[in-house]
Amino acid sequence: MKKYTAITAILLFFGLSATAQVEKGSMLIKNATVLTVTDGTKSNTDILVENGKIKRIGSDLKARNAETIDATGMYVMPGIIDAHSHIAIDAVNEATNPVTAEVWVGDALNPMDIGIYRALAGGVTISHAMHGSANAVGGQCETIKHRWGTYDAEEIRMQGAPRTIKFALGENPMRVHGEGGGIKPRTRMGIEQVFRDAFNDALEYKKAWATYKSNPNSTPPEYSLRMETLGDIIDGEIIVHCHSYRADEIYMLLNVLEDFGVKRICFQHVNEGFKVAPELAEYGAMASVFSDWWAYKFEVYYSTAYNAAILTKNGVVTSINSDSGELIRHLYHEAAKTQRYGNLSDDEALSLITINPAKQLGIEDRVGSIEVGKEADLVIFKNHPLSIYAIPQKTIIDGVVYFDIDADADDMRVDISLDPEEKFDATFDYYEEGEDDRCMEGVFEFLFGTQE
Amino acid sequence: MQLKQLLLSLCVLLCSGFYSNAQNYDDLRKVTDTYAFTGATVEVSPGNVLQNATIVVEDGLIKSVGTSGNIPATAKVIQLDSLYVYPGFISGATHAGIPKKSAEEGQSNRGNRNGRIVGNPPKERAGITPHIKAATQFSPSEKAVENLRTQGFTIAHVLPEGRMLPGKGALVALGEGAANEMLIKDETALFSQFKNASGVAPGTIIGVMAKWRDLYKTAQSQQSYNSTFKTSSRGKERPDFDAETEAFFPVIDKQQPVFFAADKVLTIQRAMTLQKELGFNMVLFETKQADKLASSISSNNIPLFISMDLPKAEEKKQDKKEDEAEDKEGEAEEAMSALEKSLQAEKEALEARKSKILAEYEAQAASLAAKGIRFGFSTLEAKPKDFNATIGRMIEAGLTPDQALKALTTDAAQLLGISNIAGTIEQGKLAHFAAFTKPFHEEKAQAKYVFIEDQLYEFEVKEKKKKKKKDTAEGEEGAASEGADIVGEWDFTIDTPGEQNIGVMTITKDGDDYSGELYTEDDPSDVEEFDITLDGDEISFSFDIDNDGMELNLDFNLTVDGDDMEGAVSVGEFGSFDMEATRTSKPE
Repeated sequence: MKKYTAITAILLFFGLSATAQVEKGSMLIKNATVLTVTDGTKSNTDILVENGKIKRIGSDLKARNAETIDATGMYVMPGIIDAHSHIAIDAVNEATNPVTAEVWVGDALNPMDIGIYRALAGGVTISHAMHGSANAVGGQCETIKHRWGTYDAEEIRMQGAPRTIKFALGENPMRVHGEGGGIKPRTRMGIEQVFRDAFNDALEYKKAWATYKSNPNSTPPEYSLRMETLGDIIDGEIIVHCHSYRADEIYMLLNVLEDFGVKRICFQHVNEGFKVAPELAEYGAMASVFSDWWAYKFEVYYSTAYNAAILTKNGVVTSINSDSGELIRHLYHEAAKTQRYGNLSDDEALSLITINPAKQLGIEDRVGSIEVGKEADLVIFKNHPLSIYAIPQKTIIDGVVYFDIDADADDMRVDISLDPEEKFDATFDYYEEGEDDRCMEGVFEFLFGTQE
Repeated sequence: MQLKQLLLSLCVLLCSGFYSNAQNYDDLRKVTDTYAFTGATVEVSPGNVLQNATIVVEDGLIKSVGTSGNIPATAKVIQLDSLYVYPGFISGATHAGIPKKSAEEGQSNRGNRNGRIVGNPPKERAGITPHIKAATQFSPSEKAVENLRTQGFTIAHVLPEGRMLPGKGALVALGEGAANEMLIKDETALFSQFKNASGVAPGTIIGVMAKWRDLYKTAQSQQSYNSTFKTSSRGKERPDFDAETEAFFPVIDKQQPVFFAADKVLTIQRAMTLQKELGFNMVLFETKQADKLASSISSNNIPLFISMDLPKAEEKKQDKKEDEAEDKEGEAEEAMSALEKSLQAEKEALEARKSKILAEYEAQAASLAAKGIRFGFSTLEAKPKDFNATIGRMIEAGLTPDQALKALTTDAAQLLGISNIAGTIEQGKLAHFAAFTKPFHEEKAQAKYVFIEDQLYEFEVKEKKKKKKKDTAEGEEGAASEGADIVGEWDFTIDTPGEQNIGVMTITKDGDDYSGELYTEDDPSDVEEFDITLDGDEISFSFDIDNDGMELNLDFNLTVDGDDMEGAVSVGEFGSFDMEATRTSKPE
C-alpha cells in the first residue's frame, strides 16, 4: 500500500486527484428481480443509487433528482468481476527474466482497448488485468473498473484496490527460460528453487538495508526495485495470484509460501485443484478456475468440469475467470455450467463471478454484491443471468451506465484511438489456431525478436 | 544546374569527415566578416515586420537591423529584394548529424538466446547509455543537417540515437564546419523514450517503466552515499563509479531536464507518471496529442515541443478510387446485397471518423496555442521536405502564422534557454536567419538563402512539377516515356515496426523498359527480380514473396527526386511501410 499512498499523495499535491475525475452517478432502478448474491433474491424491488453508491434497496423508493430505469421483468445482479484477464494493457509479459517482480502492468494501462467495451457488454464491470505467465515471478497486476470512453488511464484504475502480483508454475516458465534461455527453471523442481532463491534474496536485501540504517557508517546495499517488491510480498502487502495446473506443484507452492510466511494466495486456472481442495481450504488459499477449458497442453489434461463445484463444496473461495477477451463476454454462462456440473445453487454459481473474485482481489468490502453502502456496479439482464437466454441490457459502474444495448453502435472505439491512416478491412477477426492462452501473449514475438 | 549540384554533392562526400569551412556560395577566401543584407521584408521577431530593411552582421553577430541603417564600407552586400527574412528556425529535437548505427549493431540475437544475457544484458545492449553525448557524435557534414538547413533551420537540439536512454543532448548551429565550432551548449538534457531493447531486458513498455524507476532510485541512493563519503570517508567503502548512474546526478539535482519523447496520449501520460513519481524536471517532445492533456501539462509547467510529423493527408488519389467505386455502385446498386450495403455504410462511417481524427492531429498546435500554452516544434520523425506543407496544414487547422513563427523561433529559444542569443533578428544576437521566396507559411515557400553567423547558403529555388508538366506537354510522348532517371544502384531502408530493413536495389534499363532486383542485408542470397513501371517521377513495382508458406504481395510505390527515392511498400494485408532509397552508383 505504501506505493499507492505515495502516488496518491503526489497526485493530490498536483491537484490531479484521480478519484476526483471519476464520474459518479445517481439512479433509481424500479421493479427488478434483484439477485443480491449475499442476501438472496428479492422480487419487485427497487435499488436507489446516489453518488455512485447503493443507498437503499426496497420497494416504492423515490428518486429526488435521478433518472429512473424501469426494470420490470428484468434481473439485476452485481457487476461481474473477472479475476483473470489481460484486457486494457499494452504489455502482458516481460519475459526476460524468471523473476520480474519489479514490473507492473498498471504502467501500461490502455483505457481505449475495445476489449473493455466487449467485457461491459457481457456485464463485466471489474477485471484483474494480469501480467502473463512466462516468468515464475511475473509482474504486478492491476484491478481495473471498466469505465469506457476515456483516454485517461487513471480513470480505469480501481483506486484503493490492493496490490497483486502474478506467479507462474509449470510449463510456461520452464519453456521460456529453461528451453528458450538455457537457464533455471528447466524443471518443476527448478521453479520451486526460483521462488526460494527470490524470497531468500529479498530477506537478505531487507536485512542489508536494516543494517545500513542502524549503522550509518556502513555501505548501503545497491537499490533494487525487484527486491523491494519481493520484500513487500513477504510483508503481506501484495496478494499472490499464481498460474498453476498440477496438484503437486500447487501443493509445492503452498509449502514455499508457508516457509516465508506469505498468507494471501489465489491460485489461477488450478485445473487439478479438485485433488488438493482440502489443503487449499486449510491454508486459506483461493482458486480462480475455468469452467470447462483444458487439454490445450500436456499439463492440462487431467481436468474436470466439476472443479469449481468440488472446490466450492470444500470451502475454497472459488471464482470462474476468462483469461480471454472472448470468454469475458459471457462469464454468466460459464458460471451457469457449474449448475449442470456440480448442482451449485443460484447464489453459489453467481458468487463465482461476483463476491468470490472480489474476495480474491481484496475488494469484497466495496463490490461483489448488492448491499447498501457498496459501490453501484450493477448489470440489468433480460432473463435470469444463469439462463442460456440471458442478455445483458445495461452495465452500470458507480451509478453510471457504460453499456446500453439500445445505444450500441457498430464502432464503439474511443475517437482518439483511431489511426487516421487505417485501412478499411471488411474481413472478420478470427481465432488463430494455437492462440490458446493469452497468458503467453507477447512471448513468441519476443522469442523471435519481432516485438518492439 | 543539375551538374553543379552533382559536383557539389560529390564534394560534400569527399570532404566528409574532414574539417571543412566550406562555403557553398563563394569558394574564394573570405575578404570580410561584415555583411549587409538589403531589400528584404524582415520579420525581426514574430509580429514585428520591417519593409525594405537592412541587416548588418559583424563577426557572426547582428550589428544592426533597420530601415535606414548605414551600410559599412567593408560590408559584403547581399541583396534580398522581394524575399522574406525570418529568424533562423529552431528544432527542439532531432537526430540530424548523428551518424546512423549500422544494421549489425542494431540487430537482436535471434535464435541464439542466452537466458543470462536476456535477463541481465550489458547496459548498452539494453539501451541504457545515458552518459553518451550527442556533442561528441554530431557531424555537421551529415546530409540530414543540410536537409534541415534547407528548410530555414539554423539551430537544433541534437539527440543521440538509441533506445530507452540514448544519452545527453546538445544544442548546435546547423552550419558546416568542425563539430566543436557548431556547438552552442553541451549536455542540455537527458534524452529518454519508451523504446524497449530488442530481445533482451527491458523487453516491453512495462520493463522500461520499471527499469526507469530502478535506475533513478539507484542513482539517488548512490549519489547520497557519494556525498556522505565526501564528508567522512574513513571507515567507509569506496563508492562505485559508474558512468550510467552518474549521468543521472545532474537530473536528480534538477540541473538538467529529462527530454521525454512521447507522441500519443498514453505515452505522454506514462512519461508524466514517471515525472510525478520521481520529481525530475521534464520537457515533453515529439507529441502528437498533447492538446488532449493540455490542462495537466500546463498546470505542471512542462515545456513542450510538438511533433512536425502529421499523419498523411487524405490524398486525391483516394477520391479517384472512390469516384470509380461510386460509378460502379451506381451501375450495380440494385445488385448490391444487404451485406455489401451495410459494409459500404460502415466504410463511410469509418472514413468520416478518420477524417475527424486526422483533423484533430492537425489541430494539436492550434488547440494548444488557443489555451495559451507555449510550445516549439521537434523534428525527430518528420521529413524536412514536408515541413512547409505541415505548417500549412496546422495553419489551416487554426494556428495563426504568428503563433507558428513563435514556435519556430522565440518560443523554441525560450524553452531551450537560449533566447538571449537566438530566436530574433535583433542587435547582439547570433546572426541566424533565412530568406524565403514567400511568407514562410505559404504554399511552396522555399528558403533561398540561409545565413548562419558567417556562412551563407544559397539554395536552388525549385519550380517543381508545374515546370515538368510543361516540359511533358511540349515533348508529349518523348518526355512521357523518358521519365526520371532511375538507373543505378540504390541503398534502401524500409521501416517496419521495430526494425529497419536495409538492402540494395539495382535498376537497369533495356530499351524503354526498366527492370530491377533487390535483396535485404538479412539475406543477400535471396534476390527478388521485378519489372518497373515509370510514370514521370513515380515508379512502381511489385512481387510476391513466400512467408512461411503464406504468399505475400509486396507493392512498391516511390517518388524519385534526383538521387533520392521515397515512398512506401504495402505488404499484403499487413499495411504499408515507409521506404527510402539513395542512389549509390550510376552507370557511365
